[in-house]
Amino acid sequence: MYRCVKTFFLVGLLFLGLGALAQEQITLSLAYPTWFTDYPRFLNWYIPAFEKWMAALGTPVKIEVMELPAPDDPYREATLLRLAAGTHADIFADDTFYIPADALAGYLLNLTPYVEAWPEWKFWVPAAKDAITFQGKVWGLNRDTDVRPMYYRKDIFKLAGLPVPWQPTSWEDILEAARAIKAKRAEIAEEIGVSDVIPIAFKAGILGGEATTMQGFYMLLLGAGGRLYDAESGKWVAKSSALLDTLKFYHKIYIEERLSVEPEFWMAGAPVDKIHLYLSNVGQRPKEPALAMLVTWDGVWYDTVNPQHERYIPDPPGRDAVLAYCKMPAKEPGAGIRGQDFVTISGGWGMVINAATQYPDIAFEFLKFVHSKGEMLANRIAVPGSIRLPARWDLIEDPVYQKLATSYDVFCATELVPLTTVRPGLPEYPKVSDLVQEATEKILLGEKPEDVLEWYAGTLAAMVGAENVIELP
Amino acid sequence: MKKNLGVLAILLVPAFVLWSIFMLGPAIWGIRLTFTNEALTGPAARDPEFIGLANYQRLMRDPYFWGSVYRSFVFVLGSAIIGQAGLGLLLAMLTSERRRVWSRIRLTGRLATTLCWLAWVTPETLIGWCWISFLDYNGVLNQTIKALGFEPVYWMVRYGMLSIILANIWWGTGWSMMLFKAALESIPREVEEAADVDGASSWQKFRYVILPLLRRPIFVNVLLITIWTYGVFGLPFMMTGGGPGHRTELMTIYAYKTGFKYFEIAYGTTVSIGILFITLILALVYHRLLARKA
Amino acid sequence: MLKRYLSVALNHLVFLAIATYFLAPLTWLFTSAFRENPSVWVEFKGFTLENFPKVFTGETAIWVRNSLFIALTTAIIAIGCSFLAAYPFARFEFRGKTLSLFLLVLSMTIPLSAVMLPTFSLARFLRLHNTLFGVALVIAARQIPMGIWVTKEFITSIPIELEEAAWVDGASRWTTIRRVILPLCGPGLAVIGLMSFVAGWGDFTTNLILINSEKLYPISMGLYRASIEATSWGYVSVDYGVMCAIGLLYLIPPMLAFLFTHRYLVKGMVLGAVKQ
Repeated sequence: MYRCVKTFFLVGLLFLGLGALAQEQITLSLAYPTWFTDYPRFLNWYIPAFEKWMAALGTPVKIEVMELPAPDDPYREATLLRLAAGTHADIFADDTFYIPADALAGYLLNLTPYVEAWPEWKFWVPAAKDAITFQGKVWGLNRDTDVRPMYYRKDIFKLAGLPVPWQPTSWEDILEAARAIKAKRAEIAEEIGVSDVIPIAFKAGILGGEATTMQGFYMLLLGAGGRLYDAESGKWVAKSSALLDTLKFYHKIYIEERLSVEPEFWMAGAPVDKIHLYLSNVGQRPKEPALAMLVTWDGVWYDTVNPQHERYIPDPPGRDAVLAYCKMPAKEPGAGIRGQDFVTISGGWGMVINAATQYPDIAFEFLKFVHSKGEMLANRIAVPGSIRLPARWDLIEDPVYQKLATSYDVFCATELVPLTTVRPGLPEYPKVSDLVQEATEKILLGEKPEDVLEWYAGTLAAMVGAENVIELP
Repeated sequence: MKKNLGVLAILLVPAFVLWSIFMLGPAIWGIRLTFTNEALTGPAARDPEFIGLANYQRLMRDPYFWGSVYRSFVFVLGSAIIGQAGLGLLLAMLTSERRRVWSRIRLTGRLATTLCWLAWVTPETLIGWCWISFLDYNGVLNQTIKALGFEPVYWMVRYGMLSIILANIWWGTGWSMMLFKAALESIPREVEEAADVDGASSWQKFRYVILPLLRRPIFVNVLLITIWTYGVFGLPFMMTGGGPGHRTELMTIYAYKTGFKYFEIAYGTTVSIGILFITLILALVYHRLLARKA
Repeated sequence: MLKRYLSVALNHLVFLAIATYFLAPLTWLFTSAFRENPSVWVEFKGFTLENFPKVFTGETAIWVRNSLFIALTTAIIAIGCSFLAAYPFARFEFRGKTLSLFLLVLSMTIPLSAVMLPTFSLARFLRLHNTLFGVALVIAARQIPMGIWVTKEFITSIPIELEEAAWVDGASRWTTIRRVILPLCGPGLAVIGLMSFVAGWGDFTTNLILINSEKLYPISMGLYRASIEATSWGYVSVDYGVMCAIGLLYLIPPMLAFLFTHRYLVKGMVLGAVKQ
């Protein structure tokens, strides 16, 4: 009898011990875009380092990588499907553009209590904070943000007799430069060794996707002092003079004065890729034209010196001899939002935590690790071209970072970031963005700006509800 | 051997189960979906709820939907009714072996029909691939045009509808051609010979003898390919994706975009119901016609 | 005499025009498959067969494998289900037979794109989403009505005496089906098998809505993705040579399949739409 009890007791202890051991193994999953340049770093450094650190702290953790398809659209679809099915990763990367909708869907963990307890949160730059905040709550962390300058071709400008370096201060400056280039396009084309020279391009059309809205439409709209959403009244802007000015500018360069590509260019093939190839064409593609001016995102500066990249500018002449950047001006000095003379806008991706995760604290530890100043600096060193515009100002001011920073990074960080703003953090935004893209396409198809604005106002009201729109002067 | 109900059931079960789940199921599930606001993101993803007929009301007021109905109609009219049936009939007639000139034109005739048939067996995405390479701004057609000294055109942009119609005709004519060929061959020779004896010209023979006999097959086939063409999705989607703007957005493409671009599953299904509705009515007419023995 | 010449010439012209229409889009495909890393321009230099082995290494090999899997699985499922279900329809009278037949045939004419989204939603619910098997099931389901119809005709044409002879010898119903009916249905099942194979091989829409992972792409999705990634026919970010080679290979199975089933197809058309 006693022997029975003893065996029972020992067996029970054994099971308890095994059970305790089994419970030790915590597993989290991570989904990170495979086409990002620092994806290998997550596999080779962040995950193993974090696992070792947690093990040393006494709570061993295993992080598994969940591979999702590339690029953006399939990744988004896969993300949503898994979130809806409840099978998505504990930690994943989300375009900040989608955070409002996903937060409302209940997919994301509210990180506000976590960040408020984190001493390093105070280092976050306002523009970066805005991108991950929705309805006053923080839904993720981001390591960097991006901005949009205007790029121009020094070689074309010199041949056109325009001043280099160049910093336009109004839309009229831009138009004048475009006209000057257009007048001499044949000679310049022959000189450089390309089929034609296109003076200017602003991304347009539905195929351009979000790039059309952010890098084309928004850059002009902000410069005209307008926005798509009026935070004061809490309504979407259906009509405003700024919207009309923007549409008129598109009309001017594409239809009236034909200072750009054929309007149909934006409705076929992969126009955004092509337009960048034109920008970086110094004669290596003689049957293609070259583009003199383009507003696009800051990553292009690094693509053009990467021999693996299709936008590579071969040396000779090399990127620095032909490509330069400047700030995108407002319509006139002081006409931009907040009375600014120059404008830009930011987007970027962030890392978020699945609301359904079983280990929110550990997940946040991982995020803290990846977003720490030391790790971000190391990332910057290990993966060239990454973390160019850090979300933390303590990193921006760090001497090592500043040493690594090229003059371009300094330009972006010091001159553009203070001017920047973000897109409306609302779930309807993607649809409004589509509407904007369609509006630019209507201009490309030859409709009058006033008519297109009427259409935009009507369709917007139908889409979000007439009580949610406002007309501004 | 007496009928064993058990055996009967077992034999029918696999097919019945598969068919119910994947053919009947989606239709019924779809109808249920249209009464909800199910979506993959946004507030509805958290709490999908029954919203009654709201989706249908939205559908009725949706200009993009009605636009797509019109565009699908144009697409069907152009590519199926006029295009495939017309070209198929023409080819079938011209390559009839009963024609007097046939022996002289056999080579080119066979060439045309073989290529037509080859186009029909080509898988859908390959057709898209070929036609995109043909109509693209830097594609074969523009290369030919440039070589002849003319200006190239953005074909799929400026003539979007025409492009997808032509591509769909290219794809589907083979079926109609084969069917009409079979129909022509089933016309008894004596009837034709009688007309020849009576001294009828080719045209008169066609109009008064052959055409009446072909009326039923033509009508039945046109109905069938109309139904099929309403459901065409992959080819136009791959070529123009509904663009530029919404100019080539057929009902099928609009349904897909609503479901997979905006992730509004329930509303996208409602749009699909529109397609289902049209094809169902046409299908019922078709089966009525088939069942009725002339 | 002149009239005859004119008539012949006109016929030739029409045929050549039609032939050009059907040939033109294929020109770049055929020429590029045999060139190394070709550009968008149709040129005739540099003949090589290298692209074809390249199809079977790397990314495109996965596509071929997936397409084969889907096509074969579809064919097997379709043959199996159709054959089993066709027997009762051919030999038995039962309640709901006419209705079932009617529903089967009716469902055949409803296109997949009309139920794209509910199919997607349903497949997710059944956890068949993002699986090749799920794709095969959906495609096979759509082949069943025709499969049953075709096999039914075949079985009906098999004299009942053959079965009765087997029963007299003591065989069960099931054995008779296996040993007597099945072999005689061979040709019919082959036709269904081929047509289902082709349906699975060429399918695009089902794959587009159900598959979300690059490792599971069949050839149709591969070509679609390539057409998007090709920075518009002008820049080689995609190896056009390999793509066109795989395109040609993609074309071959349906071509062969239809060469074999062509006669049967026409016969079916005659019975169906043409018979007055």
